[in-house]
Amino acid sequence: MVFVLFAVFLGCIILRMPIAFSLGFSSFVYIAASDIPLSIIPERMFSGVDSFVILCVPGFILAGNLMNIGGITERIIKFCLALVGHIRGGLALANVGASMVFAGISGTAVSDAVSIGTIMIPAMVKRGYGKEFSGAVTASASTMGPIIPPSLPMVIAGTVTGLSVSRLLVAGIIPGLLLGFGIGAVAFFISAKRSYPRDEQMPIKEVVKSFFGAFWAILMTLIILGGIMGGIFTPTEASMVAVFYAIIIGFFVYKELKPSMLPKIFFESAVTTASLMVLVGFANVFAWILTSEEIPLMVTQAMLSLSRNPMVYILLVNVLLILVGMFMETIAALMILMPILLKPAIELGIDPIQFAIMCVLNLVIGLTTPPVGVCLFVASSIAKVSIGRLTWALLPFIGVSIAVLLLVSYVPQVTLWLPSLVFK
Amino acid sequence: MKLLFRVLDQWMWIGSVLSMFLLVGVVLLQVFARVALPQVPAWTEEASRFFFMWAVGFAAGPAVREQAYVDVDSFTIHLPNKLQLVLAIVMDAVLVVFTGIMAYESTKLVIAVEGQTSAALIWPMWVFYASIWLQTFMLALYLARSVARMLHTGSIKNEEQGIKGGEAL
Repeated sequence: MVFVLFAVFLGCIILRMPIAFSLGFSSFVYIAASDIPLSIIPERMFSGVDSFVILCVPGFILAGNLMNIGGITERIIKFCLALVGHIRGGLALANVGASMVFAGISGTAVSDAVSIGTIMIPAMVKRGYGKEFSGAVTASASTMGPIIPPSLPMVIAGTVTGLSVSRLLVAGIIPGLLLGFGIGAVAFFISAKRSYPRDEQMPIKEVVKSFFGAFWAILMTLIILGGIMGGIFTPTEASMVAVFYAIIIGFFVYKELKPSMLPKIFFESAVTTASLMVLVGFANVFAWILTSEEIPLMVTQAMLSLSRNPMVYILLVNVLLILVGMFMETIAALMILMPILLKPAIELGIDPIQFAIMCVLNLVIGLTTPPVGVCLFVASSIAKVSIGRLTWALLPFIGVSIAVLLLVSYVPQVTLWLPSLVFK
Repeated sequence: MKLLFRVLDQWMWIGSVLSMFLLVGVVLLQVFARVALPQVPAWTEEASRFFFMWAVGFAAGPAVREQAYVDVDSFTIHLPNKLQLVLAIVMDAVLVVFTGIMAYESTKLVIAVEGQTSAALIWPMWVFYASIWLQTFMLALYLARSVARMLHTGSIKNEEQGIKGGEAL
């Protein structure tokens, strides 16, 4: 019967049914064919989203939207440009830096790619950078969004596995920074090789001035992280404090936000939240079926029969998730696979926090690979370059992501050192 | 039909904006109470979950209109335009039936929890579960609208403008 579930799910995806509904509809077919009461579907949908932790999803989406409309993106870019614009390939480095700062106020890669890409890609192309390179830098840098906190995939991973969301968020900091510096280094080397332009060095006064423009965005990240790390707020509370902070900054500091704009921003954030929560609800039904069919147990036995070596298990999971990430949406994949893959990992003595970060990083790489890499599509449409040529240009950056992934996979300290320091 | 959806759009818009405002307000109250008041009200966590569920309930339908649900077009994009349109209509029509059945099943769930109350707010539990009914019912309605629109315009892309900020209030 599980075969029917997967066959219907894949068929729906191929026929372009939205992923959320593909999960729901395939579960519906399975449940109807198994003579299980259909009321289990709304029941599981309800329990999937009836959690206080998951409430930080609308909070982080709302805070990101408020800050973005309040004029923060241009200020962040201006600051990064003032800081690194004089280096060879300065615009590419500013793109990476801006994505890194922006990742600290938004929790998704797509919002990073859209916000930074719409400004940076045309600017880079105008200054003589290749279209493919400009798109590739934007797409790869945007993948820091779900790694550097706040991160929506981390919240979902914590919700489905019962792991501490605060620990997961903090554990993402070092891998996120490594990813940022790695992508920056590759962008620099390619820029130097191709002799991309550099700007005049800004006077220190200008750098300081631009810093004050971006300061409030950086402070928002610090409030979120400081609040969570200091045990002052739960992640949900931190997200809502960030909303309050973004409103105050938008109204009184940047003065670009008006009270009449708020309902529209709230509505758009509610729509984004709803599209994610319908996905979470249906994925919860799908995951329930897998559990009732004892799929996690079967996977555990199959994986452990292959090898009881944690190194081998990690390698197998990495290969599997890279492939899954290429074809499946991050949150749906996390909801379905995390509970299945975590069990054998724990049995083999792998730290669950490290494992969760590894899974998220794996799936995030899929955002820049065909056929369903959302960031790839965004960058390709802004840069007006074909998916094939952009994918080719992305290869060195994907190489960096894989290198960071291997570090996260085989050096536990990369993810566990900071949480162990903060949460004693 | 147009008038019905115009009214529906307005209700969903007002409902989702209000629920989001209340959600933010309740969680901020919780933080404020912990920092500044001698004790945190016991009901804030439950109330925030309630407003969250209803925000999702109100916004799930309009999300269809805004084409916010992610799909994969890598396979169908190679088909002729006409076939793509037929496929999109069939898929949405299937989903109208599916979400319609889910709305009916949610009604049974709402009736089943009658008499139960929530732990902190002491509100009837059906008020919480009704958000799932609203969500699935609105999905069915907005998907039906999407089918009608595609049949009428002959295009998959939704050119319709949603409610503008402030228009509904």
